[in-house]
Amino acid sequence: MNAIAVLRQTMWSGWTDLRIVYTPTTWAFGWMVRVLCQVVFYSMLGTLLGDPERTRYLLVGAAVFIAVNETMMASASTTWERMSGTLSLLAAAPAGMVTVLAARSWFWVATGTLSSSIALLALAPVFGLGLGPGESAAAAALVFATALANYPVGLCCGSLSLRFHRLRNVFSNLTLLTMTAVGGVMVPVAFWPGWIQWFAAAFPAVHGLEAVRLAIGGGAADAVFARLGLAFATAAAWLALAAASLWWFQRDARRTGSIDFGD
Amino acid sequence: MAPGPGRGDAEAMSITGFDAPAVDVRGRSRDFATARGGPPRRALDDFGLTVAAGEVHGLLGPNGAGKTTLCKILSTVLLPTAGTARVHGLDVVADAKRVRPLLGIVFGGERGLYARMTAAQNLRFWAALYGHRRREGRRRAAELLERVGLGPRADEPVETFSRGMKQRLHLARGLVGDPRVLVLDEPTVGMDPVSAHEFRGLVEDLRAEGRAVLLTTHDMAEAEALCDRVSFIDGGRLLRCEDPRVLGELLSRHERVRASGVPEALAERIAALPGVERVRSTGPGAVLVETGRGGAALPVLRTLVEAGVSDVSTAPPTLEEVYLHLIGERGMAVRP
Amino acid sequence: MPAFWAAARAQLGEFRRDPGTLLMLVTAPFFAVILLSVTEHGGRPDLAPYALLAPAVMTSIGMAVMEAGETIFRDRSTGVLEALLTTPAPLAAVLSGRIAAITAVSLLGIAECWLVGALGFGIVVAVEHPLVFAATLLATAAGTAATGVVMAAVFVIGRNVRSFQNSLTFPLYLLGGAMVPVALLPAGFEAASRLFFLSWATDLLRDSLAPGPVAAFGPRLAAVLGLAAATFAAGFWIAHRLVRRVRRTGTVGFA
Repeated sequence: MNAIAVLRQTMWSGWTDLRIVYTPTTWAFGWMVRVLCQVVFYSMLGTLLGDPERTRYLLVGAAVFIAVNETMMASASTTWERMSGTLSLLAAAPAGMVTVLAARSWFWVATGTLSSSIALLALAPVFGLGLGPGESAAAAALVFATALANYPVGLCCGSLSLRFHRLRNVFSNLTLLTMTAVGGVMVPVAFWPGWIQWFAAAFPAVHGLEAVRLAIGGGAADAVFARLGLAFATAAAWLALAAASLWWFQRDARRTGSIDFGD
Repeated sequence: MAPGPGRGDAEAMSITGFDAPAVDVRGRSRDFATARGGPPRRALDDFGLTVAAGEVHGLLGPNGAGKTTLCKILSTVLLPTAGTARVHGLDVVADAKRVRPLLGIVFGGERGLYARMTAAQNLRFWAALYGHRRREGRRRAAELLERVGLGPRADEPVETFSRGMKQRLHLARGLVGDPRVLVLDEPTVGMDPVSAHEFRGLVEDLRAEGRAVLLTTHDMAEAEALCDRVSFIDGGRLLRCEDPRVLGELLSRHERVRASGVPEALAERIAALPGVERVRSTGPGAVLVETGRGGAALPVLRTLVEAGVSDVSTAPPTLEEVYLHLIGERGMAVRP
Repeated sequence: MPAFWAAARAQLGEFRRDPGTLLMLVTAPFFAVILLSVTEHGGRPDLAPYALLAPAVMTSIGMAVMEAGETIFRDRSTGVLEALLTTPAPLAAVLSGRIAAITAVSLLGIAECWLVGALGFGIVVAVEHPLVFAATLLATAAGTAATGVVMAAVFVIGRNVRSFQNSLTFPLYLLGGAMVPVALLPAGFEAASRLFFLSWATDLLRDSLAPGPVAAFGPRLAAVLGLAAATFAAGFWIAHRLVRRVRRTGTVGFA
């Protein structure tokens, strides 16, 4: 199959989905307001504790995790194929549905990078985090890498959402909150018991966030790239899992008849 | 790169025999698990069917008869529990990958299209999924849009389309892979009469191109007008496979006459006319006359009009009534 | 009154049928873990009551925003709302019934968060002023329900308002002082937050958990109740306008 053509067409259809989610107005005055409030909400915890260093730690964690939050929305948007009634047609097409389902939600990576970078760069001066142009650029690039690396995690939730449609928001939210709790977002991973630290290391976003912290904290370039390497290595494993899970959904749906014409 | 999947698989088909029927279903059944562990519900029961290339085959049955289940099995969306189904000699279970390029699927209603994309973008998307490269996809999209009369609207989003336009786009979508077999699952549901008429014209063209068409419907007039053969199914079973003229004959034989302002004495006179099976009272002075012989409605009408009854109409029998007659003639009970 | 109870029962049935609607109750313990880890790691065990109260309040107000708006929206899209308006029952009674049920269920979040503290972190938060806590909690529930009524009414009236639904939670958490007292917000924001009943309520709830005396309890409770009443009035006024518009145009269709 001409995978490139399928990918290109799928990305276009995903782009049209984005226009259902946001208009420029709802994005700017709805979503972005929420994003800024969310990051301020967590950063203010540092103010409450009276510790400027902790405030900056919370700011970076909360801002970078906006990108993770948005890529987790791939979980719900994977099921939108049912909404347009195209799932059965994809199942019957020679190219199959796995590529389409895996690539259709790519736009969250783009919007996540954008809103996360805006939140980080706009709120940094407010909470006393000085970022030079170089650091800002590095942070935005690493936020993109984090969003990209987390996308397969969102897809895994999406493959579950296809099966259990009514729980589509539950999977993604629980995964996101688990990562937020133990992934070095609000408190360092080392705060938790050893087994939880191992568990946290399985999530690509945890390494991506650490890379951002290193880069804006003046860490060595090779340390940043090592973290990035870990992020993409774990992401590859999640991608394999997502592909297997989507493929399994397609095979299983044929057996149980869970895909109807018009689904 | 093979030009189109339909042709790309020609080699494969020659191995299994190009002369094989377009669709061949034997002893096919499909059970569905029911909630709370009850006995499985059987949607298709020991079902057999053959469709030749260039044949428009109607699958006629009321809702829940098993039509869509058969379509889903043929289009490789659903696995059967027993039996075999072949498309141009290829098994839909073992050779699903080679079957898919040979098939086009169209179902009724407004779903199955990306509402925010334009008609052309929709078709290009599906062209890619059927293995066409970019340029070929563009060419096919433009050609098919012209063919279904959507050329001037090609670059408008589908959400602005009327139902009939969406349905035509659906058909174009089904043709994008240049399929040898088209599965049309109640394609004219909810279509206005003009669109439905145009749609039928397109189906005629497909037959002329040598494609096999499996058309499910519960519209008897549509089946009669379009199909080379008609299979009646109900409760997952094939009741009869007939020439559509049989259908026409059934329709006229069981024609019904409705009238109001009919005095009792007149109703009794009508009941005694030859070919009248039953006269039912449907309200004060209102009657429904059921006939059981071709042309029997004419004397009924004449009698009514001569007696000064002016509120008179005729109607073909409903699908359910035709089924009752079909089943009655064969002594086969419809399962609940 | 029968309409109120029938609506409340219908809402409880909806929770049972579609467990996805209880998402907020599922996420509450996670927020408790997240916030408590921050105060614990910061070496401030005195802030543990803050960290356990916040997710409970967030769950309540979050469900008012998400669920209350959602149920009425669903009623409209299925045509139930039009049928409802043809009955003699006032829309306000039906709305209140549904939202009272939502608010009552959302209060389970308090127990969840308390358990997270006790079982997960070995922190048992004592209620130092039980009467103040109980009275404030009731007033808070009323205010939350009132917020739900406003949300439901606004979501039905405005066509595009619903796209903002998901965006409302964190601004409300922030302005309601769910975790960080609004006194720590910049001056302008603090002034605005004082128009929102929740900012008074959360301050009072936190005080009721602290050993020190609760200052000016009466006036502060009055502020919570007064703002809650004003919010109810606003909600019912919008709902009433909706009913009038339906009678005039004959449809609850989109504006």
